[in-house]
Amino acid sequence: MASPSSTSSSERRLPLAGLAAALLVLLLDRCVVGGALSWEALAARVEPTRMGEVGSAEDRRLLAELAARPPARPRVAVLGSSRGEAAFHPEWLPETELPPGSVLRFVHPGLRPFELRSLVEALLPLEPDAAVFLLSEFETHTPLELRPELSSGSLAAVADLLRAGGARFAWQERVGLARLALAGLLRGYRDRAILGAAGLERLRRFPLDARLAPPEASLDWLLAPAERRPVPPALQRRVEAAAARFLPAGSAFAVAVEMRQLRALSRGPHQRIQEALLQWAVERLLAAGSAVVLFEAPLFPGAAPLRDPTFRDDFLAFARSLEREPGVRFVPLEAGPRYEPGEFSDLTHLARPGAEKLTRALLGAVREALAERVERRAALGVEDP
Amino acid sequence: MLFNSLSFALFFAAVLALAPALRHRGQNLFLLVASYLFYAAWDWRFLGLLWLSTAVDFAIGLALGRARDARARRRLVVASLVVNLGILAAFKYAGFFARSLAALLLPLGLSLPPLALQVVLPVGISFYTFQSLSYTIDVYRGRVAPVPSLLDFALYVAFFPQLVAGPIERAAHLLPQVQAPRRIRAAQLGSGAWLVLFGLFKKAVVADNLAVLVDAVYAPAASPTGPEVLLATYAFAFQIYCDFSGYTDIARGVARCLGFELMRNFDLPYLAASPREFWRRWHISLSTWLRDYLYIPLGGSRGGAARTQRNLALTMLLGGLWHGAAWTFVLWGAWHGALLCAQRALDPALARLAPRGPAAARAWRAWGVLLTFHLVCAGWLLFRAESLAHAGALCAALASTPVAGLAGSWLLPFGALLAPLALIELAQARSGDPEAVLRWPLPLRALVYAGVFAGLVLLGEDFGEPFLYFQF
Repeated sequence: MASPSSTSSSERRLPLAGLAAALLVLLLDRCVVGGALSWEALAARVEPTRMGEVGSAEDRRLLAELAARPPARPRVAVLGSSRGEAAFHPEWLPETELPPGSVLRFVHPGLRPFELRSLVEALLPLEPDAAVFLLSEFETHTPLELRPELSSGSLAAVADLLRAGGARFAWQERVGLARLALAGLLRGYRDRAILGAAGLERLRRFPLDARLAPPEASLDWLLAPAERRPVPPALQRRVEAAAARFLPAGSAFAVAVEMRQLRALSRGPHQRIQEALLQWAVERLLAAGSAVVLFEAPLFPGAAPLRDPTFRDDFLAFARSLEREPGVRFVPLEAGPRYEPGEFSDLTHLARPGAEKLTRALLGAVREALAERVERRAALGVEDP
Repeated sequence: MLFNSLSFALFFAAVLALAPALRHRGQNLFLLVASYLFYAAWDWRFLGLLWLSTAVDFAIGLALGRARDARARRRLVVASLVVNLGILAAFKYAGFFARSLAALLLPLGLSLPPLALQVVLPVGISFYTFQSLSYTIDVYRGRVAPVPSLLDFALYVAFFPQLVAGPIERAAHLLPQVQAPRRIRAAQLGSGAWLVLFGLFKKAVVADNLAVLVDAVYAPAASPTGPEVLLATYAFAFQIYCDFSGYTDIARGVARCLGFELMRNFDLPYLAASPREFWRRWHISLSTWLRDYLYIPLGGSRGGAARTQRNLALTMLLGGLWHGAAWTFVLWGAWHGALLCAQRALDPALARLAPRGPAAARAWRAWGVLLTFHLVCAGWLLFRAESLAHAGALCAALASTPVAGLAGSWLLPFGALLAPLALIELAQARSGDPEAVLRWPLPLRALVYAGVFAGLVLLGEDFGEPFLYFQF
């Protein structure tokens, strides 16, 4: 009878060169990409127009800076997408600021629930006293996009994504999940878009002028999930008319992009996953002793025809369900300032007058949440510095 | 299921985990089922064609083994030719000839039905039909004994590492490996893993990054300058080499991990010092197939100079057509046929001109390498162009703006992408060992493995860019 063709024990030898190579790769990955590289210098080399594609560069820079120099107390992390980037500016209102350097601003394009969940893992070692999420149905009802370059590469977040999505999702999204898992294992892979934008791309990309290639559509990534539901022309005209009346000249392109993004919001399995990821991010923070503020971000009122009002109902129900946990505070739009249509710069982003209102209200909510946290911890016998 | 995709990684991991635990017959059956699953992942509808080709050639092989009458044997091998080439003609060339006929009929106001113009090309059809066909021809010629087991023969035809893009294995090489029990040794796993890693590097780092430049310059709407066409053609030369030889390396590596040794398909082809030598180093499994099953049956070099030239030209013309159903491929084949004919005609003169001393001989060879590379690149321009008119426009750009618009900024990525490849391949060429890396000292090996892996992670295109040769 023929023998099995498996490797016999006498032939089993350790692939020493392979193991040494793997160790070398991991060592370089930890020491160079994770340590020696200056994120400040790297982030400075990334063109501002590309920050949307490699938004986590700014997070990485800030995290590296904070790891080297622990921030003041109380530590408050504000997390949000480009809407938070536009709307939250404590430096504009120094009179309302918490102690200098105590507010850590993690706000940039592409920070959606998975990225937020991933970022929370990176934030926990900093022991934030409070974390603020700027959210709306824009986060909970948006289609899922798995982009390793936007996340903090947390394997715990990938595990949560798998837990939320289930086996079918895991198979359907296997490539995206594998990328995220690889980003969790190797910082070089996680940060390759940033390293590329900061200069590494010159080793592989051939600069091509317009004769040979159309200008790079750097906003394609924004539109990708929005291709499924085009905006009906009548609706488009209504929103454009409102935008022309209230929004600054030059916002037409952003409005066109955002109309499609708003139309792409929908109910479905992705909503369940986005909500679960947000919930687990909040639970991780609560377990670490942080107070959590969910602050509803406003949208341009003229974009209302594009929005399904029941999506906001879903979001409110979700946020209120989280608020039932001790330590979570939810600030819906009705409890915050009233934003005029002229206080927006486009359909989803506030201009400075609106941003000042939001910043003031958000910092007020943070102060209240921190005070509540002190009381709650005092009741438990925990002393705060 | 591309070799550079996650699906394939999962598939291969499962095959590699299960196959060694099985005994020989069970392993062959398991590998056959895995191969059919692999093929079905592309398009299950064309499994029938694969089965047809397999069943017909298996039956014909057995019949050839029994038949003693020369006329009956000839009829059998012709039947195999008709079936295999018929499948190829119907699925690969029917649309091409229909489109060409339609173009001819158009001025006469006549048209063909749309159905005749659109035939889907089953992946790998050119490879597995040639491989299956070579078996019946070899049985007919008495070089290979008929295979008694359908399972073994089916695995020989469908073995997944080489099913969709070769190497086109000969029965005499692969069948004995299928028929005999195999032992998978640690050394095989190690060297197989290196082949897979280096193949992925060639594909994802070199080929896929060069493709961005090539696609831009060779886009029909682009208006490149002469130097841009020149650099993009050089880039395509390395893109197609790294794409195809990268695929072959992965195929060989995957097969080796399963205990099989596939033939070498590339032998540093751009170091060839003549067109003839190029074809001994490029896509070796196809060029030797064409030599053994087309050129030699046509008469080879036995019928005088004129017949030899005709045979060479015809073989290369059909070799061009094998690559794709388009006039650009036909012209590319004709170009190489012309080069081989020219070399044959010039051989005596070149032999007289060749210098004698070692230094002069080295310089003569270097000149030959440079000239051959450029002659091959001229062929690549035809091969990559979208149409004959497009090829003409690119040639016109080359001629009309010979020095204008040189993109100096392209040299950095060119050098960065090709330097690691050149270092490894030239070191292997110097040692005369195509897998010399595996015999380097451990620290150096570890550095090379780590460097290649880091290159993949930092500079490689992400999962899943298709391989160029799948379209053939």
